[in-house]
Amino acid sequence: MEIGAAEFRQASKEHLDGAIHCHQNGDYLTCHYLCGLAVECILRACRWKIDSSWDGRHALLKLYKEARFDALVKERDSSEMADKFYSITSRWSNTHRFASRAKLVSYLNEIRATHNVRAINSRLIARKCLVRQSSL
Amino acid sequence: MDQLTSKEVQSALEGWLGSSAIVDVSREVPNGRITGWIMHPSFAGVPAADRQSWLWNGYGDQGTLPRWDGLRGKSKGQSTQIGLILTYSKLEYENALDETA
Repeated sequence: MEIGAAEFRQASKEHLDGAIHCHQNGDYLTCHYLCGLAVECILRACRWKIDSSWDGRHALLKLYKEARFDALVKERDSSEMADKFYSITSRWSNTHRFASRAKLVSYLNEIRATHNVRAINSRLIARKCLVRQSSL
Repeated sequence: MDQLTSKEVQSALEGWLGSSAIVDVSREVPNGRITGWIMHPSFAGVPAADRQSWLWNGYGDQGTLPRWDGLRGKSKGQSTQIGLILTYSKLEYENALDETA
Protein backbone atom coordinates (compact mmCIF):
# COMPACT_ATOMS: atom_id res chain seq x y z
CA MET A 1 0.00 0.00 0.00
CA GLU A 2 1.49 3.31 -1.04
CA ILE A 3 0.92 6.17 1.34
CA GLY A 4 1.70 9.75 0.32
CA ALA A 5 1.27 13.20 1.85
CA ALA A 6 -2.46 13.42 1.10
CA GLU A 7 -3.09 10.03 2.69
CA PHE A 8 -1.10 10.93 5.82
CA ARG A 9 -3.01 14.20 6.07
CA GLN A 10 -6.37 12.46 5.74
CA ALA A 11 -5.33 9.81 8.28
CA SER A 12 -4.33 12.57 10.68
CA LYS A 13 -7.78 14.15 10.42
CA GLU A 14 -9.51 10.81 10.90
CA HIS A 15 -7.41 9.93 13.96
CA LEU A 16 -8.14 13.35 15.41
CA ASP A 17 -11.88 12.83 14.84
CA GLY A 18 -11.51 9.43 16.51
CA ALA A 19 -9.71 11.03 19.44
CA ILE A 20 -12.48 13.61 19.88
CA HIS A 21 -15.11 10.83 19.77
CA CYS A 22 -13.20 8.84 22.43
CA HIS A 23 -12.84 11.94 24.59
CA GLN A 24 -16.56 12.66 24.39
CA ASN A 25 -17.25 9.10 25.48
CA GLY A 26 -14.81 9.18 28.37
CA ASP A 27 -12.30 6.80 26.78
CA TYR A 28 -9.38 9.07 27.62
CA LEU A 29 -6.57 6.60 27.14
CA THR A 30 -7.61 5.65 23.61
CA CYS A 31 -8.03 9.37 22.98
CA HIS A 32 -4.47 9.83 24.23
CA TYR A 33 -3.12 7.27 21.78
CA LEU A 34 -5.07 8.62 18.79
CA CYS A 35 -3.92 12.19 19.49
CA GLY A 36 -0.28 11.14 19.17
CA LEU A 37 -1.05 9.14 16.06
CA ALA A 38 -2.74 12.18 14.49
CA VAL A 39 0.35 14.30 15.19
CA GLU A 40 2.63 11.60 13.78
CA CYS A 41 0.55 11.46 10.58
CA ILE A 42 0.64 15.22 9.98
CA LEU A 43 4.41 15.27 10.57
CA ARG A 44 4.77 12.37 8.14
CA ALA A 45 2.72 14.30 5.57
CA CYS A 46 5.18 17.21 5.81
CA ARG A 47 8.20 14.94 5.84
CA TRP A 48 6.97 13.07 2.76
CA LYS A 49 7.18 16.29 0.73
CA ILE A 50 10.91 16.47 1.53
CA ASP A 51 11.72 12.78 1.58
CA SER A 52 9.22 10.20 0.36
CA SER A 53 11.19 7.23 1.66
CA TRP A 54 9.55 5.27 4.46
CA ASP A 55 11.02 5.73 7.92
CA GLY A 56 9.62 3.28 10.42
CA ARG A 57 10.70 5.26 13.49
CA HIS A 58 7.92 6.96 15.42
CA ALA A 59 9.75 9.52 17.56
CA LEU A 60 7.75 12.72 17.05
CA LEU A 61 10.77 14.86 17.96
CA LYS A 62 12.82 13.44 15.12
CA LEU A 63 9.91 13.58 12.69
CA TYR A 64 9.39 17.25 13.62
CA LYS A 65 12.96 17.99 12.58
CA GLU A 66 12.91 15.83 9.46
CA ALA A 67 9.62 17.45 8.39
CA ARG A 68 11.18 20.89 8.96
CA PHE A 69 7.95 21.71 10.72
CA ASP A 70 9.48 24.67 12.52
CA ALA A 71 9.55 26.56 9.23
CA LEU A 72 5.72 26.46 9.29
CA VAL A 73 5.48 27.94 12.78
CA LYS A 74 5.25 31.74 12.93
CA GLU A 75 7.52 33.40 15.48
CA ARG A 76 4.54 34.72 17.47
CA ASP A 77 3.21 31.14 17.79
CA SER A 78 6.57 29.65 18.85
CA SER A 79 5.95 29.59 22.57
CA GLU A 80 2.46 28.06 22.21
CA MET A 81 3.89 25.47 19.83
CA ALA A 82 6.71 24.67 22.29
CA ASP A 83 4.13 24.13 25.03
CA LYS A 84 1.86 21.91 22.92
CA PHE A 85 4.65 19.93 21.30
CA TYR A 86 6.34 19.38 24.64
CA SER A 87 3.05 18.03 25.99
CA ILE A 88 2.52 15.51 23.22
CA THR A 89 6.15 14.36 23.00
CA SER A 90 6.59 13.91 26.74
CA ARG A 91 3.25 12.13 27.17
CA TRP A 92 2.92 10.03 24.04
CA SER A 93 4.96 7.22 22.60
CA ASN A 94 4.16 4.70 19.92
CA THR A 95 5.03 1.97 22.40
CA HIS A 96 2.04 3.00 24.52
CA ARG A 97 -0.17 0.88 22.32
CA PHE A 98 1.39 -2.15 24.00
CA ALA A 99 1.00 -0.81 27.52
CA SER A 100 -1.80 -1.85 29.83
CA ARG A 101 -4.12 0.90 30.99
CA ALA A 102 -2.64 0.74 34.50
CA LYS A 103 0.94 0.99 33.21
CA LEU A 104 0.12 3.98 31.02
CA VAL A 105 -1.75 5.80 33.78
CA SER A 106 1.17 5.11 36.09
CA TYR A 107 3.57 6.72 33.60
CA LEU A 108 1.27 9.72 33.07
CA ASN A 109 0.96 10.16 36.81
CA GLU A 110 4.72 9.95 37.25
CA ILE A 111 5.36 12.82 34.85
CA ARG A 112 2.45 14.73 36.44
CA ALA A 113 0.49 14.73 33.18
CA THR A 114 -2.65 13.77 35.09
CA HIS A 115 -2.24 16.53 37.66
CA ASN A 116 -5.65 18.18 37.99
CA VAL A 117 -7.15 15.74 35.44
CA ARG A 118 -10.08 14.36 37.33
CA ALA A 119 -11.28 11.84 34.76
CA ILE A 120 -8.19 9.64 34.77
CA ASN A 121 -7.49 10.04 38.47
CA SER A 122 -11.04 9.31 39.53
CA ARG A 123 -11.21 6.24 37.30
CA LEU A 124 -7.94 5.01 38.71
CA ILE A 125 -9.13 5.64 42.23
CA ALA A 126 -12.38 3.83 41.41
CA ARG A 127 -10.43 0.88 40.06
CA LYS A 128 -8.19 0.77 43.15
CA CYS A 129 -11.32 0.81 45.31
CA LEU A 130 -12.79 -2.08 43.35
CA VAL A 131 -9.60 -4.11 43.67
CA ARG A 132 -9.49 -3.39 47.39
CA GLN A 133 -13.12 -4.32 47.83
CA SER A 134 -12.74 -7.59 45.93
CA SER A 135 -9.76 -8.57 48.08
CA LEU A 136 -11.76 -8.17 51.31
CA MET B 1 22.96 40.63 11.48
CA ASP B 2 25.47 37.77 11.72
CA GLN B 3 24.06 34.31 11.54
CA LEU B 4 24.06 32.48 14.86
CA THR B 5 25.40 28.94 14.51
CA SER B 6 23.87 25.88 16.09
CA LYS B 7 27.31 25.11 17.59
CA GLU B 8 27.20 28.40 19.51
CA VAL B 9 23.77 27.56 20.91
CA GLN B 10 24.81 23.97 21.64
CA SER B 11 27.90 25.07 23.54
CA ALA B 12 26.03 27.81 25.46
CA LEU B 13 23.44 25.30 26.63
CA GLU B 14 26.04 22.65 27.48
CA GLY B 15 27.96 25.29 29.43
CA TRP B 16 24.86 26.09 31.47
CA LEU B 17 23.56 22.57 32.08
CA GLY B 18 26.81 20.61 32.45
CA SER B 19 27.65 17.00 31.81
CA SER B 20 24.43 15.48 33.13
CA ALA B 21 22.48 17.16 30.33
CA ILE B 22 21.77 16.09 26.78
CA VAL B 23 21.69 18.96 24.28
CA ASP B 24 20.75 18.45 20.65
CA VAL B 25 20.19 21.55 18.55
CA SER B 26 20.62 22.07 14.85
CA ARG B 27 19.58 24.19 11.89
CA GLU B 28 17.84 21.97 9.36
CA VAL B 29 17.37 24.62 6.67
CA PRO B 30 20.13 27.15 5.75
CA ASN B 31 18.11 30.25 6.68
CA GLY B 32 15.76 28.50 9.07
CA ARG B 33 15.74 28.73 12.85
CA ILE B 34 17.86 26.61 15.17
CA THR B 35 15.68 24.01 16.88
CA GLY B 36 16.15 21.03 19.14
CA TRP B 37 15.81 19.74 22.67
CA ILE B 38 17.55 19.54 25.99
CA MET B 39 17.29 17.02 28.80
CA HIS B 40 18.30 17.62 32.38
CA PRO B 41 17.39 15.49 35.41
CA SER B 42 16.63 18.66 37.41
CA PHE B 43 13.69 19.44 35.12
CA ALA B 44 11.68 16.61 36.71
CA GLY B 45 8.60 17.97 38.45
CA VAL B 46 9.15 21.51 37.11
CA PRO B 47 6.26 22.90 35.01
CA ALA B 48 7.10 23.26 31.32
CA ALA B 49 6.41 27.01 31.41
CA ASP B 50 9.03 27.48 34.14
CA ARG B 51 11.61 25.49 32.21
CA GLN B 52 10.97 27.56 29.09
CA SER B 53 11.29 30.72 31.14
CA TRP B 54 14.65 29.55 32.56
CA LEU B 55 15.82 28.63 29.08
CA TRP B 56 14.86 31.93 27.47
CA ASN B 57 14.94 34.49 30.26
CA GLY B 58 17.57 33.11 32.60
CA TYR B 59 18.06 31.31 35.88
CA GLY B 60 19.18 32.87 39.14
CA ASP B 61 20.37 31.37 42.40
CA GLN B 62 17.13 29.62 43.20
CA GLY B 63 18.04 25.97 42.81
CA THR B 64 20.13 23.14 41.54
CA LEU B 65 21.19 24.63 38.21
CA PRO B 66 23.96 27.19 37.69
CA ARG B 67 23.19 30.84 36.99
CA TRP B 68 22.37 31.56 33.37
CA ASP B 69 21.42 34.66 31.40
CA GLY B 70 18.97 32.86 29.17
CA LEU B 71 19.05 32.48 25.41
CA ARG B 72 17.76 36.04 25.03
CA GLY B 73 20.50 37.41 27.26
CA LYS B 74 23.24 35.28 25.69
CA SER B 75 22.30 35.76 22.05
CA LYS B 76 20.84 39.28 22.25
CA GLY B 77 19.15 40.17 18.94
CA GLN B 78 20.28 36.90 17.39
CA SER B 79 17.88 34.95 19.61
CA THR B 80 15.20 35.43 16.93
CA GLN B 81 17.19 32.86 14.97
CA ILE B 82 16.33 30.25 17.58
CA GLY B 83 13.04 28.39 17.28
CA LEU B 84 11.54 25.58 19.28
CA ILE B 85 13.80 24.17 21.97
CA LEU B 86 11.99 21.63 24.11
CA THR B 87 12.97 20.81 27.68
CA TYR B 88 12.65 17.32 29.11
CA SER B 89 13.26 15.49 32.33
CA LYS B 90 15.07 12.16 32.03
CA LEU B 91 11.88 10.11 32.04
CA GLU B 92 10.12 12.37 29.54
CA TYR B 93 13.16 12.31 27.28
CA GLU B 94 13.28 8.53 27.27
CA ASN B 95 9.61 8.48 26.37
CA ALA B 96 9.95 11.13 23.63
CA LEU B 97 12.75 9.31 21.87
CA ASP B 98 11.53 5.80 22.50
CA GLU B 99 11.80 3.98 19.20
CA THR B 100 11.51 0.43 20.37
CA ALA B 101 8.17 -0.16 18.62
